[in-house]
Amino acid sequence: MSYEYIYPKPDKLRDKPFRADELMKIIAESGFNPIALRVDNDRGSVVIYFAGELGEKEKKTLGELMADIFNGW
Amino acid sequence: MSLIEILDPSYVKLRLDNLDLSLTSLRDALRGTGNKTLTDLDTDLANIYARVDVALSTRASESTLSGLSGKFPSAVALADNLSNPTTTIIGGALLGFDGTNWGRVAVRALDIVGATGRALAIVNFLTPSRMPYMVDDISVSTTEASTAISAPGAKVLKITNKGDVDCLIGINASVPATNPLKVRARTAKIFLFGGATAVYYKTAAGSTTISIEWFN
Repeated sequence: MSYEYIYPKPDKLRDKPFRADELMKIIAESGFNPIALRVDNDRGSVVIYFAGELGEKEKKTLGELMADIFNGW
Repeated sequence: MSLIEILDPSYVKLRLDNLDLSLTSLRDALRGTGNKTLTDLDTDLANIYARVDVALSTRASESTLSGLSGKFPSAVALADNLSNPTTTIIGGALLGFDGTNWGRVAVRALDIVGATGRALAIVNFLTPSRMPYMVDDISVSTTEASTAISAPGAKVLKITNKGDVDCLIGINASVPATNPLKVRARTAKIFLFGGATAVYYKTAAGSTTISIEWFN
């Protein structure tokens, strides 16, 4: 199961592109266990792959975590 | 005229009063708690003498001790081409330290030069042991993007370029500025890797689509 999050200001990624391994580390340290994470710096897309579907609470937490990451980028 | 010497009775009594111990009490005190007479003690000594009538060097050569000497080889100067020594085999427990604890190092039974022997077991880091995964249809442009793979990373990694433009690859780091590895258009490359935790990709011009498959 994959979950996609779109960075609202992809133009900013030209100066500071997402690096998948860095985001992966942040997410793993927050208690999630994704199998892969893909970033697209043209679209500002971050897709996180999990072995199964996340529960509603986990989805909410992950969404909040991604929002924090985007805000601080 | 003669001189008569008389012992003063009161003095005699005074001295006799000092002998306030009966002879039987004195005897018992001399015998001690074991109530042993001098004859008994003499017999004990004779028995002890009988047991130590052999020199210690003789005792040391008795079977229980002499057996030890056979456990050790004679001293010999170290040199090349020494013959095989006949000696006691002493087993050593091979342990390994993982940073916290000591544990037994494992061996595996393997065919070694035509016979089954024990070889030190090693972890084959290139042997996949987990679920294979795939991330498909990844759009690749001139802007570098990346896909991270969960630890311990991919040991077998396949990158398939499904488009018509070459894809430039960096593993565990950005695509190198010079001489990057290319997955040519409409081809696939398979990598064996100790642990690929990130794949970086971009094109030199135009765009393509890749898929990444791996075992970790």
